[in-house]
Amino acid sequence: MKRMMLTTLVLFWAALSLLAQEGLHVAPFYDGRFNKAKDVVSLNVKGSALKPYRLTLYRSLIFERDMPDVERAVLLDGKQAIDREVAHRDGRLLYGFYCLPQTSKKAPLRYLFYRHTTGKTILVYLEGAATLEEIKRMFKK
Amino acid sequence: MRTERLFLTPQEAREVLQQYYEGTTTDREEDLLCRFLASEAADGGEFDADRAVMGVLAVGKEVHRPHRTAVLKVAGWAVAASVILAAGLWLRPSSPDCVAYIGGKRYTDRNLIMAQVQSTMGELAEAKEAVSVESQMQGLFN
Repeated sequence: MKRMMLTTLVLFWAALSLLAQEGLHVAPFYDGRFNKAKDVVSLNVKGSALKPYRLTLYRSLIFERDMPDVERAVLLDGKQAIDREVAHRDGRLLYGFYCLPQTSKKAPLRYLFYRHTTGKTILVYLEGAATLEEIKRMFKK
Repeated sequence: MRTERLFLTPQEAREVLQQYYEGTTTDREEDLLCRFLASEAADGGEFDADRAVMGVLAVGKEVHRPHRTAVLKVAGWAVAASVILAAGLWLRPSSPDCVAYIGGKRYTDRNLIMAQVQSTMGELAEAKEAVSVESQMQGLFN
């Protein structure tokens, strides 16, 4: 009885902490495993900072190295995209901009961005009301 | 005393007890006496010694109250679990809106982090042009 109640409590707690991108193959990369890595920049933003961009969640990982695992995960998640813009070279994904299906009618739009150059890999996950074109326009240098 | 009733009154119990100690009670009367001593009607102290003699005190309580005890136990656990859950939710630390890990170090400066965001998204926005330029350059030399 005690064990059952403790298990229920732990599961409930865990459920509250689930990542927004649950169900995606890229989700495990955002579990904090790279926080201590010297060659990785991890950015996590939510709330008012993203309001001007009409976004609600921003999560990115910038690796100063080649990450074929990330590329594989992006390609798998990209299969379910409802809109995409991609480029390949020599069998490798150079960049991919994906608009993923909403999890429900009232759920925010979801995006996955990926870019690979020599010795660098960028992975970005976004949620919000902004369209793909709006996002590209907003962040263009 | 001979009785056909299922339960004894306290007065009847006193009479049966006297016969019990005289060794003249029937099995039926002893059964009735046990039932009386195990019940709440025998609470109050008057019959405690008699209970001890007949050894029914602990057994009687189990016979009469097991269901209530089990219900109270479950209710107690449910309340405890609810309190723990509510406390956990209340005490759960809220994560800051902006968190970055750069070179293994943690930062929460909003301006710094948003500058990094701008830079990262800018790199992504340039991806298409970079591929296009590269393709054109390769085309020149092929």
